[in-house]
Order: sequence, then structure tokens, then C-alpha cells
Amino acid sequence: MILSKHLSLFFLLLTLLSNRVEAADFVVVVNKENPIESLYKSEVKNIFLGKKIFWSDGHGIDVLLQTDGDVHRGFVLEILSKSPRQLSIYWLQELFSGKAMLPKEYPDDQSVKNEVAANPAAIGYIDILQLDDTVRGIQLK
Amino acid sequence: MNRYQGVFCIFLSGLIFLQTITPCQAYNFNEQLSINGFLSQGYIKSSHNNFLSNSLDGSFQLNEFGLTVNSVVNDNLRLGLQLLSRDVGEEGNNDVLLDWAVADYRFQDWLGLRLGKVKLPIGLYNQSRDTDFLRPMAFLPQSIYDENKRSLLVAAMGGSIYGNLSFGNRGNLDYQTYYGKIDFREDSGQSRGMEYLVNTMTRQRGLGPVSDFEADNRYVYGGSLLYSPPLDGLRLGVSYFTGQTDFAFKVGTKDGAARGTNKDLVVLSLEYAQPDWKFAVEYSEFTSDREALGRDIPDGRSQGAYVQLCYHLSEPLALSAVYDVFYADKNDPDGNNLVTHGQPDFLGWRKDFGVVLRWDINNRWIIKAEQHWVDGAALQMPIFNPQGVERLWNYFALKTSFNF
Repeated sequence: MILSKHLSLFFLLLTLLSNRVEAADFVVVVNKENPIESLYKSEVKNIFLGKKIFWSDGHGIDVLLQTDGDVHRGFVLEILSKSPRQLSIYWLQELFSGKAMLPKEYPDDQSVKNEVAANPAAIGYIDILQLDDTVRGIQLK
Repeated sequence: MNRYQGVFCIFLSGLIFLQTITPCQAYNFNEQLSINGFLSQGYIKSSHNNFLSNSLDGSFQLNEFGLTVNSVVNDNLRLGLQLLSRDVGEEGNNDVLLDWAVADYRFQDWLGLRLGKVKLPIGLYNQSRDTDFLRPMAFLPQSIYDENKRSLLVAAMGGSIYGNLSFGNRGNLDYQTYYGKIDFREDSGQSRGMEYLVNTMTRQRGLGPVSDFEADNRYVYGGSLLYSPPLDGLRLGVSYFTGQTDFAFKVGTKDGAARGTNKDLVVLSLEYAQPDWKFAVEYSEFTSDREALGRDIPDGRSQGAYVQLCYHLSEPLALSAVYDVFYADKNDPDGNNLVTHGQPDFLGWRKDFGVVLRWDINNRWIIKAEQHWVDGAALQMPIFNPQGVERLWNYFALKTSFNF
């Protein structure tokens, strides 16, 4: 009991020392043919960490990451609870230990929208202000 | 300029060249094939004892080069391999070896099968232990990730069943089991450790010299569970490993035999990571049950644990500290049994405190500088110090790594 209290205080102290950056507003997007309308945050996290690799119809999921920028940082911090650098290292661990290939990276919102619009298996994230009818925004539960 | 300084200069030249070419997308020939890799070169200098290499004089024999090729055949099947060249003291000598090679078939999220040479999931970091870029320090904590046991623990020719079980808002569980055989090299720490033991025994008995030393691993098997609870950043793990290796050699003109049963390695792991810091603690026990020249060696059950904290002073600059403890026999932490056999008690433990500063120059290039202060000389230190070992020693390492 005393140990768990000390551990809690320790983690709280470390958390207070963290200097998180405010997240940008983003929306998770899929192809308009994809029937999924909403996903739990934990499902999105598992998808972008390569733990969930199949859609419910059995087709593979194509994960699209943005290279950097505020939207990327906001998504990675809020959904994956990692810094962009930690996410990069996570995927390199998966790659170099023989578990997976790296997800595709795109430089900006428009290139993500272009790929998602053309690829029924794709999922990505963009600035919520850039959402239009070429792709479909997913509601996060 | 000696051979290793030459290698270092070539490495740095290559690094500068690679900085001028385009990012990693350049190596994705199409959506189905990708080539990636990593390079690292280090320098180690120690006081009082050699560690892994001739480090008392300073050594550049601390490098890894990896080349990884992956090909996606379809949504379910991936083919991949990694070539690895490394040099850590007497081990590796930059021969190019197959690190892993798999046909990876995923039936469902919760069920996959890998056949070929598969990496072994032991603790949190064993599967990525050769990629310096991925960890805060140049050396993983030796109590769990002993460099001398690398050949035994890193990968096996065989198969692995794995998957991820999702429990919705109660987290998810990664599991992996494996069975296979290890292809030992004569220069591996495991072979050299047994050869050192046999040499010591034959010398004590006044027998002839040991020659033609060969290792033949019979099997390894084990598995791991890694639970990610709903608390973001927390991972809890347990892993298990057992293996058996036979050794054959000549003592003078006669055949000799030895057996090493490395059984019941258990590692308990906890990692809690937030964007600016990471805390990790792991605990392990391990039985190295050896028989040599008809005699059962009283090895006992070893015990090890470490605690590590990494804090990012800024995004590219991280400061880490580790305290790492190992006891060769958990029932004899003071090494009293060693004294009764005429050996120093401090061969029974190793207590290592280290600090490191890591600078991520960019997403692909890093530099680390680290200092360790060590009490004790367990974990095969006599192999590197035939002239004798000392209890208190320290080592400094400088290492730079690049990935593409």
C-alpha cells in the first residue's frame, strides 16, 4: 500500500515535469467506401501502432502517417500518448526486430487526403479544417 | 592509424555521405518492397578491467551495421530479412551474418505465424538489442541483456506464433511463443565462457590442452506476454526462455564433452513512458546448469534487476540514468561459495550505475556519451581479463548511430 502510494507520487511528479505541447485539432479520415463511421480511441491507437492490421471485412489496413507538423504532433500526443520521436523509434523497433514494415509517410494534409481518397484500405489524419467530401471523417468514441 | 580507427573514419565518411541523400522514402522502391538499415560505431575506454574488448587501452571494436529488406506479398504475407555485421571485442569481427529472416503470415490480428530465423522476445528490448539507435544507452542493462549471452538469446531458426488480443477499453495483450535452434559461433560469449571453464578444469587436473571446441545447440523455446493496460504509456511484461547446448572438444588426443542447460530464464518487465520521459524496471532469474568433463558445476540461480529513467531535457536531448544489479547466485549474494573455491567473492556480483547524454542530431543521426561506475566482476569478466580482475572499475563509451 505504502509502496503503491510512493509509486503514484513518483509518476505524478514525473508527469508534472513533462512539458506537453498543446495538440492541434485533427480528424481521422478513411476512404468514402469504408463503411466504418466511428472507432474507439483505443482501436485507433492499435491501428496506428500496427497491432490491429485488418479491417472488419478482413482486408488489410494501410496506415498513413504525416511526416511532421502540428497536426502530426497533436495526433501522436493525444491518440498515441507519444512524442513524434517516440513514435518514430517505436516503428523502427518493429522494423529492425522483424515484426513489421514502416507505415507510409506523407508530407501534408492534401497528400494524405489524395491517398485516402484513392485507397479504400487507407486511414490517416488531417487538420480538421481541411476535411472535405473527398474523404470521410471518423468519429472517435 | 590502426585498423579500428580506419573503420571509424570510413564510417564517419559514410555518415556524411548519407546525410546528403534523400530521406528513407528513397529506398521504398514501390509499395511492396523497402530497404532500410542502420550503422553505429562506438569507442569504449575502461579502467582496472577490460570489458568486452581490450577496453583498458581504449577500443573501437564496438559497432553494428544492419541492412533490412522487407517485401509485402499480400495483406497476410510479408517476407523479410536482416543482415547484420557487428564487432564487439573478440565477437563478430564484422562478418556479415543473417540476423533474422522470416516468412510472416498473419491470419487475424490475434494470430500470426513466423517461420525462419526469428528474434526472441525476452524482456522489453531483446528483439531490438543490436540497433543502438533505438535505446537511450549504448549498452542495455547487462543484468538482463548480458552481451556474453547474446548468441544464445538473440534469435533462433524455427518458428513463432504471435498475435495481439484486444480487450477494448481494458487494454490489449501481445503474445509470442517460439521454438527453434541456435546457430552458435565459436567466438560467441556463450562458447567462450564454456571453453574458459573447460580450460580451467583441465589445467587444474593437469590434463592436456583443449582444442577443436565446437558448440551444438539442441533447442530453445519460450514465449512472452506484454500487456498494455488502459493507462497510456504503461506496459507490463513477462517472458520465459529455456535452451540446451552440447559442447564437444579434444583434451589432448581424447574426446571431451560438456553441456550447458540454460533453463527457466524469467523476466518481469514494467515500462511507463510519457512523451518527455520513460521509466523502465526489469527483474530476471536464470539457471545456467553446466556439466563439463563429467562434473556437475554448482552454478546456482542468478538474479538481476535494473531501474532506468530517461528524461528529455529538450526534444533532441535526453539524459538517462540506470542502476543495474546482478548476482551470479541469488542464494549467495556475497560470493562466499566462490571464496571457498579460491576465487574472489566479487565475481559473484555486478552493481553498475550509469549516466548517459543522448543527442538526436536529427531523425536519423544520434550521438551518445555515457559513463558507468561498477562494483563487482560477475558476468564472465575473467574471460576478458586473464591477468586477473579487480572489484571496482568504470567505463566510458561514446557512440554514434545512423539509420535509413
